[in-house]
Amino acid sequence: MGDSVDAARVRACLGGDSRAFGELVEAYEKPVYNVALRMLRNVEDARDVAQTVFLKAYQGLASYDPQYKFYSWIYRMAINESLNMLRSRGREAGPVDESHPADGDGPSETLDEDQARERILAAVDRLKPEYRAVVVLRYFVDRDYEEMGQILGIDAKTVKSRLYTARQLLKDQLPREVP
Amino acid sequence: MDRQALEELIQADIDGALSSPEHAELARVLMQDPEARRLHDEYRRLDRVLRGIPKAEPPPELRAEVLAATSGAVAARPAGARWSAWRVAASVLGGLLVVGLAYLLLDAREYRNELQGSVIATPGERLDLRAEGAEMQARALRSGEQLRLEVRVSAARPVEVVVNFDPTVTTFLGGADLAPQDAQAGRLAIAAEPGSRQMTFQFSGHGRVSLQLRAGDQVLDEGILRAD
Repeated sequence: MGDSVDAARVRACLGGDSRAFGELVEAYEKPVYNVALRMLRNVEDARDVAQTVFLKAYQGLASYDPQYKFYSWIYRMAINESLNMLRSRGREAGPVDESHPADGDGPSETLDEDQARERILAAVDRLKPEYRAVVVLRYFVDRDYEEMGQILGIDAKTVKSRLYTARQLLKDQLPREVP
Repeated sequence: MDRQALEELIQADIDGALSSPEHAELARVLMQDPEARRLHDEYRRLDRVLRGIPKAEPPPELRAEVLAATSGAVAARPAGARWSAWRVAASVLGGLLVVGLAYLLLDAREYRNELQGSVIATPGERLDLRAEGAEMQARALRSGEQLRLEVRVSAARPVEVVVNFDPTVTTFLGGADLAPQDAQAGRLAIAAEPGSRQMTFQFSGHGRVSLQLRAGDQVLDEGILRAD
């Protein structure tokens, strides 16, 4: 989504054009929902978080600083609201390699791609939230190191380090390829 | 090159973040080291699996719920669903609660305690109709697209309350024991026996509503509610 388009929509919205906010919701409802869903792995929680994000965005639109990209702002809210929900519901899990052994017969078993995706998704769910966040932003909304850093409020080097650790943990859960 | 440095190079390669010299260095290692190639393949496969996870479609009603909440009205959600939108909308409109309560407390009209509107709605116009032996008070409360019309009629004789609206811009949703299909060409007629009766009508849309207090064919009084 072009950032100049988003900036124009924000300006229009602040000028009283309610359709402009509808366009922002239309543009971002899918990525925001996916961020929340992959952070929370629960459709109802994801729906609640997505609603909260857009309503808070609407409330706080006047405080949005247009020198930053709109998606950074709204994805940050999506991550933060997801983390808040995880905290409030006490669902934070330990790291994938410490607290939850993989389901099934272990990572060495042979599974097809669909099963591999399920295995890896379950492993993503068991990552610590700070690692899960970088995986979600990288793979579900296609952000690079710099953009993830902006969204998460950390530097790109830290993003790279977290992604490195997360992938190491996930790789160990990858089943062997079907021959 | 140690294992960590190799894995960092491989991951940066997957992310398309290698410089040309780093790329050349990785290519050289992969040519020489089968273990490096195996590791590279594993990370590539992990990347492919993660990218292959389909993006979920948001619930179809999500956008409508958000837009309804931001326009001041909260869309109905399926039974059993949770109401975070309501909670947040309530916080958005918290200021209106205070104003609304003050409005109700300060209003000295006789019927204020009987016609209390939604706390999230902006108080609308009121209309008083009077005739010999009959009077009617009405109030419109708008909340986004939703309009609630509250009417109290007191009469010493049988009267009829008639509500007229433009059906091209306003839809009657129900109320006063009437169903939406009871609205005939934008007209609702409710008979009121002697005594006092209170009724509530729900509409959606943005048109105005006019009211008549009638007795048979005679219009006793009429007026328009500025509810748009």
